[in-house]
Amino acid sequence: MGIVETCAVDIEAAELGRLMPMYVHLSNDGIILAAGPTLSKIAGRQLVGKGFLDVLEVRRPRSITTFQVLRNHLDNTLHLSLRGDPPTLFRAVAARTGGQGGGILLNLSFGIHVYDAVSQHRLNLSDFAATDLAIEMLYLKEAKSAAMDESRRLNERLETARRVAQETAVTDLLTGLPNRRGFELKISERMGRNEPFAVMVLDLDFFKAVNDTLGHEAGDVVLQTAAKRFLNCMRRGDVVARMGGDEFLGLCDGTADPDHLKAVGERLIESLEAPIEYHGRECKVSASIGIVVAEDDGNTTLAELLKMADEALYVSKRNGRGQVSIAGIPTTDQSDGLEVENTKVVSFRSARNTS
Amino acid sequence: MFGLVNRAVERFVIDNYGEEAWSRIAQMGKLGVDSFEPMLKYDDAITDRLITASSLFLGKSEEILFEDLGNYLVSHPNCEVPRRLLRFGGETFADFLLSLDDLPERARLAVPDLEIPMIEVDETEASSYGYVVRVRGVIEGLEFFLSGVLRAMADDYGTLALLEIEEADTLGRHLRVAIHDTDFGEGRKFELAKRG
Repeated sequence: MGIVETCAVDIEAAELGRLMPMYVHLSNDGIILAAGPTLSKIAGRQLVGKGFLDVLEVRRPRSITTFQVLRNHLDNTLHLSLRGDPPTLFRAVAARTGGQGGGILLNLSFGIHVYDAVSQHRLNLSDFAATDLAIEMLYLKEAKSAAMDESRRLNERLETARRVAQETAVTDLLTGLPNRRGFELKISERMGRNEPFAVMVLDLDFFKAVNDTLGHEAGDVVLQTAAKRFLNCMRRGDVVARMGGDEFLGLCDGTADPDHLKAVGERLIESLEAPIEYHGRECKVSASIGIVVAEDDGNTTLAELLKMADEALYVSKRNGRGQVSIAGIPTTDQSDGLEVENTKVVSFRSARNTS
Repeated sequence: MFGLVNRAVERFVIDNYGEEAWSRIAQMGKLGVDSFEPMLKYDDAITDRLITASSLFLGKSEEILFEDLGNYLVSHPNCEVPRRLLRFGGETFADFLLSLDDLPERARLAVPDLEIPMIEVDETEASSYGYVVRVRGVIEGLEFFLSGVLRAMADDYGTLALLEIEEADTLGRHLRVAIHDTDFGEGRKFELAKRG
């Protein structure tokens, strides 16, 4: 053993309390001789004269259940809890002191439990030594959570903006209908389902005349009204989209009956032919429609479907507008070989013939 | 710089003068946004335009605007965060003043790349009641902002302090603080643990 250096400190309890507001000084037999002001405040009662283990429980090392054992473990970091509800948790270091009989000095700290302790016991800055980093820790917790809250709010706002942008990218702003991209997304959802559906291409007739005579605003009103009427003629679950200009698209779900589709188309034309009022003037338009029925065979692309629907639309236009044509079905009147080619299994007629 | 500064001006205008005033200022200053995001960075030129437009629209000099803004950030009920973070600086107003040196370091603990102006605090003479505070940052006139903050903090501590901006030395303006009465008013309570 080397020489033991002693450091003779003779200090008043109040002064020691300023250095270590949570100290406890024990006699050699475990009676509390003095305690720091913050520890006394937390205990809420007189500590001097009480047995140390009556006030505080040693949680670790677990073997310490009597003061005799504690005296042999002073080199360990002690985990203590102040008996109470809920108990306050501390970490402590202990050291032997001189004087008559020799005693033990313990310095307690909250460790990671500092926030709970501070809120439970309503502690203030003056309850900590100026050298205690606990205050910095509390400061950091508050500053960090303020910064985190801001970041979280920023993320929420960005997410909302992203959703709106995404929605706008697939929406036609004038009519509120899906645009071409929106329609493609919806139809690609339908295409893998193994159920028949029909695609309808609609072109407004005489729309240019409205635009030219009454102006673009009138044209916009006509388009908005046409969009509403188109929607009204369709069933729930069907899709109506605007491709741009005076061209619309419809997706009729689960329908393979050409008579039904033709009836829907004719009803739609009739509805669109009803005059649309614009500032006291009547706008009159009509519509030509081409329809293709897709028996979902998994081989037909959207582009091919649209091409066939367009060809049917072309037949309607060539036959004098205001008409419905279905791809693969010859038009009834003077078609002169204008009927659309009966290609693949896509057109309605071929679908039916093969089944 | 971070949108935090612009956002502070925005909240100041809205809380004191209303949404309408804010949208007029945003228009006048050609800010390009309706609202600033505190955690995003913006061009410094936007901050300059924002300050000029606010000063013009509210009819107060930039000095007064800064002072009011500083006061607002500490004393307005909607601004609990800055006030609490500042109160961590000390148990008394004097301790708080002396903690201002640490402010940039403290702020960087929370947001590492935050640019905080450098603050220097000196005790004057033998008396412990006089202080000189210098502040240096990218924005001109920060003394006025700090003066608003310190006045509000003195009230918060219940301390009577006199503040003066002096064009004293070669380093430019500084702030002279004289503490007259530490028990002047009630002050506001500060508990370490945030309630609710």
